[in-house]
Amino acid sequence: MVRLAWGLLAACAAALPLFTTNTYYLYVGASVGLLTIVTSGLNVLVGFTGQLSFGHAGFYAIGAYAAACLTTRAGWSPWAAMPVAIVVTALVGAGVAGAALRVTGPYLAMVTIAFGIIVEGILVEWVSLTNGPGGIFNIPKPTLRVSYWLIVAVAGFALVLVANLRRSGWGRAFLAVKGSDIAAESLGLSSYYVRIVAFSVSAAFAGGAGGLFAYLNGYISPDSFSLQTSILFVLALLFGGEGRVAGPVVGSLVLTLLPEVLTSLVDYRLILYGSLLMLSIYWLPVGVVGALAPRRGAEGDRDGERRRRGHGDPRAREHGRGGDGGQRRRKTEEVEGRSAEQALLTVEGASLAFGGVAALADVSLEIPTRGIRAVIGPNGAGKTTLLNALSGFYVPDGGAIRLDGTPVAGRPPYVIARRGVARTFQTAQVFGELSVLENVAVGITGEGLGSVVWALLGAPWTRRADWAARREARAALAEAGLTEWTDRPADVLPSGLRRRLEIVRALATRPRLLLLDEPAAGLSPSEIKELDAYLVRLREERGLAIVLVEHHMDLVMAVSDHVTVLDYGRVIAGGTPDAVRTNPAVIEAYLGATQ
Amino acid sequence: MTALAVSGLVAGYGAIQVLHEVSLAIPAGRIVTIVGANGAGKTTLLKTIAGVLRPWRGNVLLDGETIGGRPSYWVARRGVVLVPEGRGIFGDQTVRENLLLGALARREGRDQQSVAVDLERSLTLFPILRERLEGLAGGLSGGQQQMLALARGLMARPRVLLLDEPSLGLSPIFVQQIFGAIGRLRAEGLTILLVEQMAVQALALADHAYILERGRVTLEGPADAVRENPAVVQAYLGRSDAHPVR
Repeated sequence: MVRLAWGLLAACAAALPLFTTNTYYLYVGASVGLLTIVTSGLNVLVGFTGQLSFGHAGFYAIGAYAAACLTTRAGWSPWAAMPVAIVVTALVGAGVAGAALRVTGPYLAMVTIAFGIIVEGILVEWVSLTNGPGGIFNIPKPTLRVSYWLIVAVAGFALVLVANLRRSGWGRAFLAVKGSDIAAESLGLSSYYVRIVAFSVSAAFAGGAGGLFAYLNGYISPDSFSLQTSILFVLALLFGGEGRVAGPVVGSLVLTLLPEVLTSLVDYRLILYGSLLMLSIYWLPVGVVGALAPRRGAEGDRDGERRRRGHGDPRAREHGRGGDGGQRRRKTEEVEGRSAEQALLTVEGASLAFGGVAALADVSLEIPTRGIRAVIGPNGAGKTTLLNALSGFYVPDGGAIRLDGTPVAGRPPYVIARRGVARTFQTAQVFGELSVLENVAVGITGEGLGSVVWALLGAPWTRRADWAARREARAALAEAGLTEWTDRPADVLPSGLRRRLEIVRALATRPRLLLLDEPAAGLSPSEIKELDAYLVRLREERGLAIVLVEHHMDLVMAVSDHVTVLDYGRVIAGGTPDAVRTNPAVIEAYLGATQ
Repeated sequence: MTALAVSGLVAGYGAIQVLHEVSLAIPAGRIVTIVGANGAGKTTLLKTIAGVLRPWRGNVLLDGETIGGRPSYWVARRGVVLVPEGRGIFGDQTVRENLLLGALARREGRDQQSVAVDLERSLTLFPILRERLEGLAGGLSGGQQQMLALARGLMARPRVLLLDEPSLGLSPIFVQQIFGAIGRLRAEGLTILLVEQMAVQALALADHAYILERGRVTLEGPADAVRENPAVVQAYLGRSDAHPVR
């Protein structure tokens, strides 16, 4: 059904010049195509990573002026100028992103507005290059019909690229960063870097469209690249439906055609756009395509379909697994090459204060390469703070944390994650817009994303890696009893199962040390029994080191090899479960008299 | 007398149906508890009763008046007050401000004097909050936050209190204190619908219990009888919990 609609749309778009020679229709059609290219790129930034840019007219301008200058001044052929324009825009995009993405959300939107204004100003002022307000004339210009076909073909290609990207590890990484950047970091992804890549990709699309725009018109001037143009890009995307591959097409069609159809209203274009934006956000917060489509999670379904039809290439599977396995093996070898007595992680006199309140005060402990160490203590004793310090989310004020003897305090969370430390969170952090399966796949792929260019092009090896990751994720979910949830969006999972998903996802990174923050919270007594058996199995079969922060004493007592008790940020007791349970200080501070 | 009646309730998220024709009755002045595995639909049921989710079909009646399908603020003003899972306290405001915000939902007794009386009552129930009254709620420990959430719910003068996992993430001492407080509220005659994973403690406290499985009520009865039911012991209570540590 969906495929038919795409085919029909492509056929109509390609056939238009055969039925009309009216230049007006072709020009409007080409404009729809250009807007589709830009908004498809913007979709990667806005729809996938959840960041907003009101400066993409700036990148559109850079692409257009790069193509125009190279063809008119350097005498390059348009074909040669085009890729250069795209690469230049992508590089500028990466540069801008590197500076701008220190901030996110509304702050980023403000910074991008400033960027757009600066570009517009440069276009006007740098007369020797841009010819100022007069603009650049005599850009080589194919016939309108050729331009039209070229633009429509590129627009179609752009949609394919975005669809490829969405299905790849990169697409999952983008949506993971949008869903929870702390969880993404804990799986080895640098959310800063991932956002820079998304920003650069979106800039490259805008640059390509800008170049085509220059060739379509044969003339460009700063007027075409104002803040208003940037707003139109965002509006078309939001109206069509951000995060959906088809969203940009619908948004571009409606926002280009509507004012043309209602020609008598052309003077009121801005009022029309403004009203559309308000109405669409009120009535269609997920855009036209979002409102028409079924609930998300369809990516997983399609994967299932392929599996049932037996389209998976077994050799591809082996290849993918081999590639992954190599990486995994390295982590494991490190474990086995080390003596069993040496501690995996040591904390020496760590202290950390928030506004004068000591959350950790001179905490020392050693975590052996294998075994379950529980950390218990009253609410507010510093247990979660300790986990945050171990996984790099907090930097201790004093003391040292060593992983394999190397200091790691102060290293960012994704670096520590890459060295084999995985964790879960007290409030489960799942990537809501990804399916349950894709959540696990993010952990499996980790930082091994490969080049974003190959992901865009849907290169065979990225597809194989994608299939392998999905297959491995499906198996892991089946083992954890989450099969019936596999293809559903993770945000519909009930809280107890979110915790289970978090554990599966953390294990998918093949960690050596697993930090669990209250995994039994919200579980029923029989589910806690299952968890109990599961943790013991992890220790025995995978030889994992586990740090367990937990309040359910029956679980703690049943599985722990060693219990550390924190109170007011200090270690008040430590030892075997039995020793700790009968310790008067622990009973006083934590267990309570009637327990 | 039935304070809150739920009949044939069907609800879910997007295209995913979670509740399948759930019916239950909560007598005035009693505690009714819902026991079920994760994903059974307990939180969804509370959210639907509280008006956070719209029911697809079915009805919710408060003292015979239809409240099903009405928005959450309207339901809260009628006196059905949800203390949500995860507490939902306003961390950037003081404990006192949080409590006073709770009083906004009431329909009567909004004058300063009545509010002050209820504030006093809440602080008597949870003395720790009195010590922290002018501190930011975000600075409270998890257990104290749960007490604040409960106290804030009481400030609305609820006719029915909906509690979603009040013991979640609390240390053993706080679990005891929270269950103790719920018991005192019962003694004061408050009607409570309690969703709780610590099923042994919940069943000990409750008058009546429902077992929810995959969005359907599969068993109901007096809490004592449900607690002794072998199938329930097997599926929900777990051996170790039935014989608590120590």
